[in-house]
Amino acid sequence: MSAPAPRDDRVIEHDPRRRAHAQRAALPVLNLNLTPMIDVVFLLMIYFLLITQFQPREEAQAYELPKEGDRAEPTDPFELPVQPVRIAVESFGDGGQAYRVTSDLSLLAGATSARALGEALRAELDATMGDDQRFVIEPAREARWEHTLAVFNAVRGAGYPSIRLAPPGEGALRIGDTP
Amino acid sequence: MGRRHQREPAQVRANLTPMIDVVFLLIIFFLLVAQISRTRRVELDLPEIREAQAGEASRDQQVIINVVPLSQSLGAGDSYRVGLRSFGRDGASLERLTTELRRSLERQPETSLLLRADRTESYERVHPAIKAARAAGFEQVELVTRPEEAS
Repeated sequence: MSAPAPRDDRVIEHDPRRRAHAQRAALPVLNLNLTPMIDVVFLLMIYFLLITQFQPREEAQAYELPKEGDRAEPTDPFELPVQPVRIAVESFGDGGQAYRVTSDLSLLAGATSARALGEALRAELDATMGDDQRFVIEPAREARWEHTLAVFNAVRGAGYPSIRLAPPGEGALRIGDTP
Repeated sequence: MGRRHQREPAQVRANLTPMIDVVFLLIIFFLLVAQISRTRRVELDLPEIREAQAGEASRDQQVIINVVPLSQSLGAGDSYRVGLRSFGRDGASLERLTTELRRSLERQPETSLLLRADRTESYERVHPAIKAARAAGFEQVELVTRPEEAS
């Protein structure tokens, strides 16, 4: 290790630029203390990270639960005038990605998807059915929740608020049954 | 130097930085506590419904039933979760779930009930939760969906 070369003051005097630099260095230095600022900035960052909602927004569909004792029996012979429309939902195919909707109402025979069902039902509103028409959705045991909800939403969107979700596998209605 | 200090009145300067630091730390502390005490949600792929007739899920006083997907389930006794409690699918567990729901309804009659289930969940696994809600005396259950993404 070699010792640093001794400073030659005579050189500074002869160089005007270096002389100015030496004079400036002699003045009291104004330096900003960055540490507290960084502290506060980090705190602000944590604060904003915490209040940000990273979870995707969630919506909810209100489902009015049938009252205890008020079992809308689809086969009750005394309720013929307001017999509910039964809609079966089944998921099939690879991983249950496809689904089919069948109904006991012949008007809806052509509707096999939730969207078609919704459109057909909307056309029937105030024509053949009132908005007090009851619906019973009868999903199969393996019916996907997604498909069940799509049908539920389609019926409600068509303007019929009275919908009941039947226990799984309760409906005798099956694909292939003549409506 | 010493004489000069005696002549001039002492300047009182409040250093605000540590105070701001502490205040922010307190805010973060309370935010974290609020976050932890909030009901835990299970990570789910919620059903996405086209043209949903849905509203914003009520936020004030809510009980959430999560239908735990089989891939995340810790065993047979972990099919439904309410807060940090797990319930199975057998009759006795569903009875406990009903009791738990009824108790929260009695404690706070304004409680709204949310049902979260994965979109691939079979109806067979979702329905017992609806049944329990009905047995507990809830008039309405909110079926949680994901709003359709604008494409």
